Amino acid sequence: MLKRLLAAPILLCAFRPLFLLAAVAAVLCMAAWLGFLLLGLPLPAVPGGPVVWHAHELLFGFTFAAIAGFVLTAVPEFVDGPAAPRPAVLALVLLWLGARLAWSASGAVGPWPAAVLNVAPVLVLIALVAPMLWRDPARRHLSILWALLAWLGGTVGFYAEALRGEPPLRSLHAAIGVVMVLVVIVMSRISMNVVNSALDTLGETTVSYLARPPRRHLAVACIVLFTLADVLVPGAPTAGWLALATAAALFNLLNDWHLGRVLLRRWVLMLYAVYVAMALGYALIGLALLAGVGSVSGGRHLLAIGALGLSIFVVMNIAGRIHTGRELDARRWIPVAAGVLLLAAVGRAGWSWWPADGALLLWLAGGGWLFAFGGFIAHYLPLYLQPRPDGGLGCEGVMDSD
Amino acid sequence: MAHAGVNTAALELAGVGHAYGARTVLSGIDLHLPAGRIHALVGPSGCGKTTLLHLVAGLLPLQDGTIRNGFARSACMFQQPRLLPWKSALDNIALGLKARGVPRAARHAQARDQARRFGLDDTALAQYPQQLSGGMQSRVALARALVLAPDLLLLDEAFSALDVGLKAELYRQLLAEQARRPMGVLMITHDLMEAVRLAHAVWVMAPAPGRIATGFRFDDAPAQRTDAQVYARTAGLLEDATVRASFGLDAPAPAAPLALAAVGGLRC
Amino acid sequence: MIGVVRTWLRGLPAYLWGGWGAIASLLLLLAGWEFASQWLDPLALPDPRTVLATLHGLLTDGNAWSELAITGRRALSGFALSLGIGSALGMLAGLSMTASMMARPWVTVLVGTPPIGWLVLAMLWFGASDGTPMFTVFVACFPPIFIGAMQGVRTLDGQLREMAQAFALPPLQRLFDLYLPHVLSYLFPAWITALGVSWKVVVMAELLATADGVGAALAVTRSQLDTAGSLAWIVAVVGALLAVEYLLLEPVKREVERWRTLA
Repeated sequence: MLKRLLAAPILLCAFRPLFLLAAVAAVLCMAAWLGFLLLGLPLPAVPGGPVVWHAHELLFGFTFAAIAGFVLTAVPEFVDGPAAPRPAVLALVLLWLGARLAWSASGAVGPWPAAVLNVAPVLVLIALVAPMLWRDPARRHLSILWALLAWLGGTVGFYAEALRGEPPLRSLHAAIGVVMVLVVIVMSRISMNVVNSALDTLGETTVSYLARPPRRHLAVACIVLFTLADVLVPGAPTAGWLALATAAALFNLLNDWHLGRVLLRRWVLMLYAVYVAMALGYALIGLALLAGVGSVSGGRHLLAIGALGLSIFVVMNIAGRIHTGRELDARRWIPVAAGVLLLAAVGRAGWSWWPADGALLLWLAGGGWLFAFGGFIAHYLPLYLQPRPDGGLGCEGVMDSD
Repeated sequence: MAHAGVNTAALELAGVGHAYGARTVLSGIDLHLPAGRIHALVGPSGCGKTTLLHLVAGLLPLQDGTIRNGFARSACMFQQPRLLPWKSALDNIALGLKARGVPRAARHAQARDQARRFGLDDTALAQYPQQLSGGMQSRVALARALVLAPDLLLLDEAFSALDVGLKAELYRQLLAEQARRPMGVLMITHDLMEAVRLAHAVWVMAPAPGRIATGFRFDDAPAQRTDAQVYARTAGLLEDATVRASFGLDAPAPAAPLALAAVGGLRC
Repeated sequence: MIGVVRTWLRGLPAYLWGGWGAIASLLLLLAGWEFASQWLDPLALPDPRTVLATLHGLLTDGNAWSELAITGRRALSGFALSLGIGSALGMLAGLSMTASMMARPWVTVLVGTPPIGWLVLAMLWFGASDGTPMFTVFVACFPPIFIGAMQGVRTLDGQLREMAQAFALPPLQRLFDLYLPHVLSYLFPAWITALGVSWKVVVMAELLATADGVGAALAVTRSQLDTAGSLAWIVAVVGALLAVEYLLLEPVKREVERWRTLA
């Protein structure tokens, strides 16, 4: 039985179960949240209340599954290491599923089981990739390890706060900061491939794309500083200036991308939009903290939907497809879904500007989110349940061959 | 043959000498370079070759003797490319034409023509010198000299810093240009083999004070010379006692002297 | 000429967008200021928002613009004078070994004399007129520009000069194709340094010598122990300097020195 499960296509590579579960979590969590906000349906009782349930599931459920799926697929490719063993991936998946149940039941059984089950898969993930990242001769991708350790800190911090009976919002904000750093780091790797192959497609030979480390380092440093200020002195104006600095540093990052019409290619444009959303999100947070314009929550949601949601959607569509032995999806639903996600981000951020239209904006935002990740499930479930069309037996991508 | 009778101009040096302060670097240089011929001045470092070339180019005032330059137009190529770093390759090639007052469009067209013969495409021409490889820079420098359609080309160690492949290519381009349009070429070099490969006459200079110690003629067309011929002639020159003394080498090798005449060389 | 303007305009969006890095680092500076202000007495260091609000007030009630214009006029005319005379004399001095040898000690004297000393002399010579700050700015800006121009000419590559001679470049072409591009690469940094000096010195001169301009306004805020007002004026002056440098001088410098950056 176990042997047959381990040999099933769904476990062919770590991203298959994890991306799928991420999308399922995205849809279920958002549907439940919309039901609660707009229809008054109940949510599982958890420490901290419904908002914390919502944020916890989207970060430690949805986002973590996507991160784990990506890291377990990409890191072996980056450092030329072996793919994660299937039993370990299965264990990680089961722990993650247990963590979902334990968290939603934590109102009844207390936060301890959820704490253990949510921290455990992070430890498994780090144990699987840390040796590879460390052994790489030039240690080029060590920043990924630091980000994963920071994520572990965020997870542990959340439960430390929850077990002390405090509202664990600070850990959730820290976790968003960690994901933003991870997105910047990971996209710098992915974009080198995506933008340059788009340049090749256009026949552009005079320019090439280079994600320049100094700009990235400035952006990452700003995000880290803001996140620290945000966690240590929430609401302070210092954090506001740091948020504005982060926005400027992210806009600065886009200098690398201004290479002409290649920016209008779909995958390039979507990655670009992630940075724009991230910069605008931090700008909104900064304005809210310094000038009281709009709300900090609006900015955070621009980060969470526009930057985090869109980047996960794009990365799952790239890494989650080429590693099944298929070319990138050229169909129209992808740019449509990405556009709808961006609209969702703007709509949700707009809630704090036009509270009168709150219900409409929430429906719009939630609907966009459900469309994108529901679409992902519909398009990818069949792929992930089938073996690779090229007869491959693992994670190898189609872009590797050329 | 290349030297058709139309161009009878020549470069004539008689008793040329030069001193930097009290130090005499050149004395009693006589030279006759007719159109269509390539003459090489070889010699060790410090024998005054460069000073002689600068005198011919008019970069130094003449102190002693006479220089009669019957050629209407002369151009120079130096050891370093000496391109203007703030001008594109195209503008660098057109520099001498601009100095002659050729209008912009015309000089660009000529420069582009010349560059194309040298394998420089429009992308390379639009770039600044430091964006180009060393080989490309040398090509630009040679094109800058040749686009002037000089009757007299002065080469100051022009090829000595280049790799063999690039040298061979620039030799080919120089000889092709010379076949198209006979010009007098005066080249100085410390590379005996380069002189033997390209020149109709090789003048060997000796130092302290710089003077012409001996000279050799090779009457065949440089473009036709084979590698084997060039090696044999170089070896032959190196057997010569005067040549060895000029370069400060030990006494002639004890082996039977190779007859230079047997491989096409004649003492002048 | 039109071509240069066109490439400049085409490069402008990319150049302006490139400013985000500088903006980010300035915002980090403001964050540090804000952080420090929370630990200090507001009389010693008010927080940046108070200062910016004060500045905003000064700008909206209209007084600040006229004071800034007066200060700007004095700084820029002193600077322009220095730019013209310093560049020309420096280049001339660079042409002759004797002249550069002789000029060196003079420049050392100019550099060594404290600006405040020049200011006192200028007050004696020009009184409370515009001449005092303008002269002080001129003297303070002169040495870096003069030295830059002189070194630019002196360091010109002898090999290139020889090449120009061998290719018989006429004098005008030699000036525009050989000397100026090289000398400009020394002059521009010197001009930018001098521009910064001019703004600093003009405010100091006004503080002590005139009844109007930013310096005089600073004297008023100081006497009223108005730290926020003082800082607002300082921010205004620094902002004006940043604008002139990054919107005017730096793009021109980039265009002129494009060949340097494309390596």
